[in-house]
Amino acid sequence: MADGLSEGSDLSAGEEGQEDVLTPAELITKLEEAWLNEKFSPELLENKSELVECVMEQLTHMEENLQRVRKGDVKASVHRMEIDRIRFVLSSYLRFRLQKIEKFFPHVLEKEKSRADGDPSFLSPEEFAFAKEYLANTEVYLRAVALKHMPPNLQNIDMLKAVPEPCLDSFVFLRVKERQENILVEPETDEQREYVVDLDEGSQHLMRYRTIAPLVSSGAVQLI
Amino acid sequence: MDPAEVEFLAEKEMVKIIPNFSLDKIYLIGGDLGPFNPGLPVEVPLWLALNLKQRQKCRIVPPEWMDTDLYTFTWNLNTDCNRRLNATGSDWTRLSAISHKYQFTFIIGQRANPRTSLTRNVMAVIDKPEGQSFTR
Repeated sequence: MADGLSEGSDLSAGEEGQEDVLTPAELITKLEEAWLNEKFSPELLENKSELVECVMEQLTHMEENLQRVRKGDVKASVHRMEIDRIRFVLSSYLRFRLQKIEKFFPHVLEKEKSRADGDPSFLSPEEFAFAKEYLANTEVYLRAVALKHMPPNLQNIDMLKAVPEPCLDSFVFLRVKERQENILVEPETDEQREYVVDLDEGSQHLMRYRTIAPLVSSGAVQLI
Repeated sequence: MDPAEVEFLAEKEMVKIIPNFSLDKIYLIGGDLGPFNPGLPVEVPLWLALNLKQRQKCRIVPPEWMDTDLYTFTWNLNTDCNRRLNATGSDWTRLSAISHKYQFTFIIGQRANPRTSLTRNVMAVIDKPEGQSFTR
């Protein structure tokens, strides 16, 4: 009996031309890694919109297949459970991003404005629209509730100063995926001096986020 | 990281089951599973194993590492260490998986093999209240 639900495995149509074609299993692993990184990082990470799109494609494809199969099939229930699990990870990932956008909205917009044209974007188009609207709504709200009642020289508010920045010095747990050498660790107090560490593959550490931020975006470490 | 999320991650670990039904290979997004033949062991992710067990379609085989000695050792580690280490790392994921395996080991112990010393000992360790270190 051929498995009518097995047709979702071909990914080559959905990928953008730059990367090698990923198997669906690798795609899901990457999604889970992105989810964990986003969860534990104090700042908003790079937007992984192609990953999100591919996963959505896989999910809708699988759901279409499930519509065609008769109900009550054991296989259908297993597929459905897996779809629910993947959908949870995807929604949770997007939720974390939205929470961080809401928390740091002026800084996120400033970062997006000041990035060079060639750099990858931090926000998807929808997230960018959301952030702008959030900024506009907050300003209108503050003005209507408080600012217009203040003396005229105090009626302006600088959002960049008013909203706290993400704390890049918070400590994060990480696992090293690719060996790194000569990572410079800044001193925290005046008595300490800066020192250099090597990170071995597979080791787990607890470090300040600022030290390893570039390694997270390059994929050399995984936050846990 | 809240406990539900840790359990979610722990459920990805593979575990051996012995199904009592037959089904040919299934092609999940995350990988292929099966085929399932009654009486023959097959490896599946824990979330599927627990669901099948609940529907009484399989028996779960405790993995080799789920031995009493190793268990008490890791149990002590768990009660002494920071809970936040309960993230995706193989040993710590196994600790989270233990909370699930408690459920099914309990079921196995009650209905299938109540006299097996392994399940008895493991259950005795699991039932130890948290915060007490278990010394032999």
